[in-house]
Amino acid sequence: MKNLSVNGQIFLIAIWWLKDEAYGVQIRDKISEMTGRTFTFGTLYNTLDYLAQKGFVTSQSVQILNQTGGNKRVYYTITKDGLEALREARELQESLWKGIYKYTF
Amino acid sequence: MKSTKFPTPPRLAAWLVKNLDRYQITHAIIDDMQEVFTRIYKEHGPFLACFWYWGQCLDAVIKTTLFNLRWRLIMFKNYLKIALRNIQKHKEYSFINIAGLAIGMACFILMFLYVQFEFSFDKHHKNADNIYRVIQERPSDTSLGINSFATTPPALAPALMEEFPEVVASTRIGYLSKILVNDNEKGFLEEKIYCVEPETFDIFTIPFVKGVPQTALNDPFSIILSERMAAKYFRNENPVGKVLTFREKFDFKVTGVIKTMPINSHFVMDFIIPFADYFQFKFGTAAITEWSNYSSFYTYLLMREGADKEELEQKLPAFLDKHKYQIYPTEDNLKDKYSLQPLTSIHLHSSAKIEISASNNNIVYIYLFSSCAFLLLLIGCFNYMNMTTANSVQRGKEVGMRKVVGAGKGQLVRQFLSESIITTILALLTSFIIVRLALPAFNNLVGRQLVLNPLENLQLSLVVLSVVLFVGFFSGSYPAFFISSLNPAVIVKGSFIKSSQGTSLRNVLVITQFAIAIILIIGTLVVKKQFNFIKYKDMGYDKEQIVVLHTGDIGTRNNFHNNIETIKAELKKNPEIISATGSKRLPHDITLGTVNILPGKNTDANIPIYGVWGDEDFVDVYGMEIIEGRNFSKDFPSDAEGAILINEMAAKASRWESPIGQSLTYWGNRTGTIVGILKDFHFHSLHKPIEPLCIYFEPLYFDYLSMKISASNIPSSIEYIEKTMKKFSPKYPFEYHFFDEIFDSAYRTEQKTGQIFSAFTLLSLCIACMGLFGLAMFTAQQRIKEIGIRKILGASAGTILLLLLKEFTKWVLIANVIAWPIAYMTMNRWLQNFIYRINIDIWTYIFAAALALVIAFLTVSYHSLKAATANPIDSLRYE
Repeated sequence: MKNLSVNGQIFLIAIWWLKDEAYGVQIRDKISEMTGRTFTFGTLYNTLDYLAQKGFVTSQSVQILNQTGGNKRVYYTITKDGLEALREARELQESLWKGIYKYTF
Repeated sequence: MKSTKFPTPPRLAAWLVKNLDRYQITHAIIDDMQEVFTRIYKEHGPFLACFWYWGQCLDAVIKTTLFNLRWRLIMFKNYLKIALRNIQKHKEYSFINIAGLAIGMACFILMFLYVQFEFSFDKHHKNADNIYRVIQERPSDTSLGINSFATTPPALAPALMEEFPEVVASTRIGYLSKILVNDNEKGFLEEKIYCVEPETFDIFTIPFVKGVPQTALNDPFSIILSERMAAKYFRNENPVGKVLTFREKFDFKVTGVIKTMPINSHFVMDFIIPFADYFQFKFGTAAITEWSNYSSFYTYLLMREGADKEELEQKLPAFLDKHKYQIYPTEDNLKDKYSLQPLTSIHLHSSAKIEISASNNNIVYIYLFSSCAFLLLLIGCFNYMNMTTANSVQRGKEVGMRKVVGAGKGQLVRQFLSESIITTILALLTSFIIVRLALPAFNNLVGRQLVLNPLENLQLSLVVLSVVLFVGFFSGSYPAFFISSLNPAVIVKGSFIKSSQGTSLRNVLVITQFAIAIILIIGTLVVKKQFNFIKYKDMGYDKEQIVVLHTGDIGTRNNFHNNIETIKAELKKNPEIISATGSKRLPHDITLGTVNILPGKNTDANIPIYGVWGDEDFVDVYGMEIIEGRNFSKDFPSDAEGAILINEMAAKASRWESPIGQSLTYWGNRTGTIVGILKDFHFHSLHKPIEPLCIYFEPLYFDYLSMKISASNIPSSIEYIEKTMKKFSPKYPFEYHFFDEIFDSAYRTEQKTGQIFSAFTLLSLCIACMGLFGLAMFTAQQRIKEIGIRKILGASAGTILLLLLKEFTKWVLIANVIAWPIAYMTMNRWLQNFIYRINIDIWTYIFAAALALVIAFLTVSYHSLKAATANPIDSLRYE
């Protein structure tokens, strides 16, 4: 079983949504849009590092023309293992909540 | 083009982020941040953007550091485990290491507390940095050795205030002591009585508990008490409005109470009375507008913030010419020189005479003791270095293993450094316990009330922290760099022990330790000898069985002064009391500098001469010897008109053919005839030579009553004296001292120096011996096979013992060679302070050397004997 933290899930889902557009700023914005939480870049890259270390994402560095102020972007893609982990996390969640009504608590 | 297109983020922050980015290749944190920065910049303006950028930057710094440290922490946990295991495994080594360091650190902490306290004097005043005291040099008055005086004429303070705009406030303070103060029931001789002007409360920060500073001293005969005095006299009652009587004559009404001043003040006021009332108590003092030096006041100034002290000092000669020397013309080279002394430097740096209170310390002693404490810490560190390098042979295999597995040099250095820091922290905890236990004794020794409170004392915790880091790095650095730099193949073989590198450093460290210990031994011996020399030197007067009472100032004219003849007669009725005398000063401390001129044969020879006054029994009570002429006597009625005794020095200096019968003028208008010559005695401390002295016959003017009593039944004699004194003045408190105690207390500084030195010596020897003990253990272990073989081949236990002792003896002897010249120079320097001093003889050195050697032998012989008497089979057997 691949243990995936809540943060890890959020990140992976954000990357999945973004498809080819998943680089630092976009991921941060997407998460903010999805959850209302804005991460600092420190946390962002620490988590991405962690995911990369676990093998859930791979990254690719791309030189860009100077359009936004930076001159490099690192794009992230989910690996097979990442998708597997997401699926497991979801199953865990669903089995966990099974039979409990939404407004029980 | 680029720079106009995109706003640039704060440069420093950008640089930080860029440098902290761990994986420059895959990470684009800086570019991403730039992108968002641009966005915020456009939407919200530069200020918010920069603010955001900095926030992101600091966050990234913290997160990255933590991330990086994660692995280090895991490694550190391993180092900690190994270190603790090592400490447990080698209990003797660890004990020596930790105890040595702990003792050194405890001394250091104690000394730090002391030094910190000494430097805190007078800093509690709000204006402390702008308060100055005026002191003066009197070239015309060199008779007292140092000619710098803390006192100044009364007219100075108002004149300074008027003349110089940079002086914001000025005040005069007069000091009275040994005054009988009583309320209705009880009386005490009080010391800390000060006559001040109201400006004092503007200059110094003296919080009032009751009363108003501006008006409290408006009426004559009003008095302000300190809280502790209010409690002493009135307990819980409200003291305001109550009356205290001074000298049974003057009634003072209490108008205020101040908070008791902290003891780190260079003078502590317990009773404060209006300045003008000073003249009620002092006999023969000049008027308040006087510029002469006959009356003693302390002048304190508050300068304007930012005013230059030296600038004002330069204007002072002209100022003095204008005010003083127009009225009293003097030659230029005899004019007084005034200077300003910052308030905060009075306690440690003032060498002025007639100090406002006797609490001053000398910066030299502070330096001396701090360096001793530092040396002790150093010896402790040396122990650690020694033990660790010695022990590293056993660690060699571990280090070799780590190297083989892939530990880098940096990692090994880090491991050993963290190990030594762990040891240091353990030592620190131990040292806190030692300090806790030793603090009462130490406080007693230095006469302070120090507390150990690292949580409240920020400076202390910072210093302790830096000591831990310093000691940890310093003592751990050699083993760390030494071991980690070795070739793993060599270490694993265990052959580097024989390399001269390891042993020669150990030898140097042991030699240094012993050299320091020997220097301290010699120092202690010399201080002790000098103190005994002072104590038992024939001073020219008796010290034993003399009871001394303070009877009040000569200006008092109390019942004692009025009835002195009757009192003396009454006292002598008791056969135990041999004789009694009233005198202005006691013979060990005649510092009255009444300058007289002996009109000698050569009229140009004007010599300064000390003067004191006494009665006809003074010479008898103190067992002085008259070598020519006679004592004062009732049988000669002419003595009442003026008679003088001079000492041999004065007789020699005056160059009269026969001094007896010559007359001298004193107090301006009194003349006396010289009736006798006294054998020279040491009438002030042995720091100074014997100088000319004369004793005037003035039986009515005395401060002290001294009584020679017989050795038998002292308590009953004292009871009798008390009864007699109470008969004449029932309210006067009976406080007696023995003269030999008073004499000893005059050399308290020397005595304390001696005690502190002895303590340091003992401790340094202790630590050095622990180190030696450890090394002996190590050597014996190292040579265990060699010893076994020697024994098999026929060596006796004695031969082997000698073999082992030879090496240590060599070290101690070398240490002696280094220590002797250093000790000689330092102690000679110290002895220069005394005019009458001992010579350091060769025996002192030999004794110190022998002591060090014997102690070293005893320390080493335990393990050497064990090795020498061991069965060789045990040491040679392999399996």
